[in-house]
Amino acid sequence: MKLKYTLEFVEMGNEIVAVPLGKNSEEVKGILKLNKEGLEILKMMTAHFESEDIIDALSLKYDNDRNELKRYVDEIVETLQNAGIVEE
Amino acid sequence: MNMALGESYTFCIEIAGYVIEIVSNYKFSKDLFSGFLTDKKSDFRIELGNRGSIIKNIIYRNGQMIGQTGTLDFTEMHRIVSESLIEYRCFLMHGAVIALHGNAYMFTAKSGTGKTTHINKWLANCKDAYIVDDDKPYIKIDEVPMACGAPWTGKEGKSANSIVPLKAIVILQRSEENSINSISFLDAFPYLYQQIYKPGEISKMKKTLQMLCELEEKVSFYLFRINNYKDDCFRVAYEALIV
Repeated sequence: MKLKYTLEFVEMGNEIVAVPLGKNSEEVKGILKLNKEGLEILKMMTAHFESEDIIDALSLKYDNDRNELKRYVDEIVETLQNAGIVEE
Repeated sequence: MNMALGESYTFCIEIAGYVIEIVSNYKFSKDLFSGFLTDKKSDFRIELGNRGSIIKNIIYRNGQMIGQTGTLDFTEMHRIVSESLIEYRCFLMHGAVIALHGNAYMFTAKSGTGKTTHINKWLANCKDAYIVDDDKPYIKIDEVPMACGAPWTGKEGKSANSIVPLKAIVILQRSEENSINSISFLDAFPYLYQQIYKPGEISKMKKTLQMLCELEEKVSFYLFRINNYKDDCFRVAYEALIV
């Protein structure tokens, strides 16, 4: 699981937005608006965490069931893949 | 027009309040910058080496053909100037800017949406209005952001060597009826991001992004669903932006 672009996180009002930068970033249509959890996950991905590492880190922080966290992370990753931000 | 390859020609232009010394291989390049030439001391220098064969291109200024150029030369200068000005807190954005009563209003959209048609309505209806730039102005980030005309103009070749406080950026979207609404920077951002010049170098791109975000607190943003062919087009925009 690999981010295709360098991401810059920008605060706009109460929202955080991830903007892809660099070569071919024009291919990404739109920008990513993130909630707090989405921001955490994306920041871990920029630090080269794999899915299981991310789930482990979230498990330490949140009381949610691990399977629930896995579903959440998988959804985020799928969204990012569909947006062309992440490749396998 | 003389084309004397092998020689170099040096002149200075002033854009966004900065003086740039240009060293060009083509004598006629200086003509393309008329209105922006200056004798002032330069802030920085740009030098172009040989760029291979010339691609003929007709260049217009204020609606009149002023000559032909090696496109590589003129276009390459544009790219280098744009990337250099990032270090001076200026970024390039695609849009048409008109000035009225000391304020600038930028209309931005992808090509063919109707920016030029619309700003021509402003010229027709407001005798004091003038075009700062009809295609790719620079936005200078300061306490008050400024819209700055540049020599690299659009198809009608209109720009002024002026720097005007930027009051609003209006995003145009073609529609059946005319309506304009104030929008947040967050909602405007995807459209704005599409229209800024994006340098290849990541550090310069980050600076550009940072400058764009500094507009949030300083400029108003509007979404204008526009039909230039309806009679109320100018009135709808004027009443939202000026009145």
